[in-house]
Amino acid sequence: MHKRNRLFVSIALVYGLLGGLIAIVRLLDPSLIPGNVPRAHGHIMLLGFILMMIYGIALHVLPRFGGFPLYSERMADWQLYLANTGLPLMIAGWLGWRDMLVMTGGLFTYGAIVLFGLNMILTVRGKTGA
Amino acid sequence: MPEKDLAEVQRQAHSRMAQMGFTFSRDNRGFIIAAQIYLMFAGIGLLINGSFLADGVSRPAFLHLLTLGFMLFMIYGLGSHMLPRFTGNPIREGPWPWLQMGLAHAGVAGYVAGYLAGWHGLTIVGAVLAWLSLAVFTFRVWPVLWPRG
Ligand code: HEM
Ligand code: HEM
Repeated sequence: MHKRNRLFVSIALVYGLLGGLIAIVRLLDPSLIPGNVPRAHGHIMLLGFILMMIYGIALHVLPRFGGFPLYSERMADWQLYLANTGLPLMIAGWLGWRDMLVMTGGLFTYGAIVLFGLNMILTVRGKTGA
Repeated sequence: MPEKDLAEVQRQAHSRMAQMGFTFSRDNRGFIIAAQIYLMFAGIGLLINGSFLADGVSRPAFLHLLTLGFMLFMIYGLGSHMLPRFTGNPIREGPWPWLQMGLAHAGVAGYVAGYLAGWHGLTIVGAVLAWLSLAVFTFRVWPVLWPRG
């Protein structure tokens, strides 16, 4: 399994633990963590835990199930960087009530989603790239 | 082929696949089955509220039947089945998967019941147990991803 894909899965686990932790702290005392904690938790879990887990596993299995090598390793590397730049910005934006940060982070996150989508489509259709 | 022989052939094929490690182990089969049952419970939320994201006290309960009950259990079952096969590294077995499963069941049940009954303490206990199950899963999977040496 490619190191980048193992990183995706590992980072997913860290986000899962982190997102669970801030939700527990919020249940214990809502004033301990400032900001929109439920929203931050929801997106840490869905974008950080679930989606990164899917990224790591899909980048490994879809080329194999499709019968063609991954279209672009470089795109997948950039997907890792963009996803992990975007989500921290979004979290900071929600916890600090800064909508601009959420939006900026959201653009990075969305960039990762697009790179992944294109890479997978081109992979299962058997195109060759960089 | 007569039906009785066919059943025998299927049984042998299944046993061969199990010995080759294609098919789910007992613990992972348990995670996957539980996930489907939680999904059906989560669906009740759609009937009652019309949405997983409807406002109201039962929102977190039904939402987490979907996220903790279905999504998390699917990741547990599929992750522990696939990752050792993708990497060739063993996953921590023995009592660990059963501890993880027990914590996850108790966690979802406590969290959901806590919200539905309005018992905040029970919600917190469930939340902590669910989190601990994720900690056990991480402990089991980490050496699969990053073996020492
Ligand atoms: C350790 C396990 C978890 C705990 C303790 C936990 C706890 C919580 C709590 C306390 C809330 C706020 C409820 C409210 O006051 O409205 C919440 C909301 C939410 N959780 Fe979780 N949760 C866990 C796991 C997950 C997972 C695995 C996911 C997704 C895959 C998830 C997705 C969400 C979403 C989408 C919301 C709604 C956020 C919003 O209202 O904007 N949670 N959770
Ligand atoms: C580029 C990525 C994303 C961005 C920038 C983003 C941004 C946002 C924003 C700004 C809100 C608040 C909306 C409001 O105030 O009404 C929100 C709510 C929410 N988002 Fe996201 N989101 C993203 C991806 C996702 C994904 C992938 C999921 C699910 C898999 C998700 C699930 C939710 C949920 C459940 C809510 C709460 C809705 C509610 O309370 O009714 N988001 N998101």
